[in-house]
Amino acid sequence: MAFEELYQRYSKRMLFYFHRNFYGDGEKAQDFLQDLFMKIIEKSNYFDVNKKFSTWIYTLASNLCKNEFRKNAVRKSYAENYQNRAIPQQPPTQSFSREYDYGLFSLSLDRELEQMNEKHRMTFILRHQQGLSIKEISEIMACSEGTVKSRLFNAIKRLANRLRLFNSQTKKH
Amino acid sequence: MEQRFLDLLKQKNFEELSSADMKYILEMASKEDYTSARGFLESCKTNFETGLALMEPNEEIHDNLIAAYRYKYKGKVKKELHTPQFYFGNVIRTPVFRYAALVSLFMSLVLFLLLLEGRIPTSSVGFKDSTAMDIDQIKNFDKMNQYLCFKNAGLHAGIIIPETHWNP
Repeated sequence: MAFEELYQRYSKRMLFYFHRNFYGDGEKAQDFLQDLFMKIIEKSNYFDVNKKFSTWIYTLASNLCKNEFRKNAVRKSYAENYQNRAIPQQPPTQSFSREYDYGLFSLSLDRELEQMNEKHRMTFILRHQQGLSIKEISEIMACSEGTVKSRLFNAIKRLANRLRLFNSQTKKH
Repeated sequence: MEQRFLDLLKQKNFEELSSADMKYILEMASKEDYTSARGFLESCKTNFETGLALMEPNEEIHDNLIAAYRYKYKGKVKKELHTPQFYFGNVIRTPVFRYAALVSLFMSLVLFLLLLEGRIPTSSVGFKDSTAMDIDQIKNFDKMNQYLCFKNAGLHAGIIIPETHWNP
């Protein structure tokens, strides 16, 4: 079945996309994953076969995120979620160091992303987490390629500066 | 402008930059900023790879979606079973059937033309059956001719048939 193939190919990536956009809220990400694929089933006739499927699915996902941001519920859930996610104090053993690094960096990155403008955040995630091209991002975000580049440039500059200390810590491991 | 910066950031360490690239980078950022940004992107890459590996969608989602998909397309699958293509798919695809519609259209046109030709002699039967009469005996014959002239000139006029000769 073609749908099964699509699900296998995109479900993990889309779950990760929602996970990052909702600052690590796993339950919300799972709900949105289901909503996204429901939309694909319902609106499959709206898909333009001359265009890339990845662009369409990310456009749908981004619109779902934007709608959620508009509801202004994300900020609240993040505050709750953030409090529940304690920063690990010390890696118990060397074998856990990778997880420790991941958890610590993810948490810090989520915190910085949360403080960023919605458009800059989504652009950064689409480019560096999902690995999309600048052209694809410009189609998904409905803006020019120049705008995408500018947003990326500013986002990296800001994040790198804010996470500079953390960056030097990770290099030690 | 940012494109070049972003490309270099992704590809090269500061030490690996050519003198032209280095000059360009230093116009936009310091060596520390560039190194820091590159280090940050590398950390992101590792972090995202690990994160993606840890992601696992709930099994229920998959089951729900498959059920929804089957529900939506159930009717369509049933309909497809009752189309001629389903029963006679291979036969319809043969050249004879493929051009059947075109051939039948052409044959219909020929039949229509033959029928049209056939109408002309049948319409003349009325003239053959008519009875000859002496025009001098027709009352107001001149007036009748006048009306006919009007008709030929494009005006609408009825033909007056004298009352005396109306009854057969």
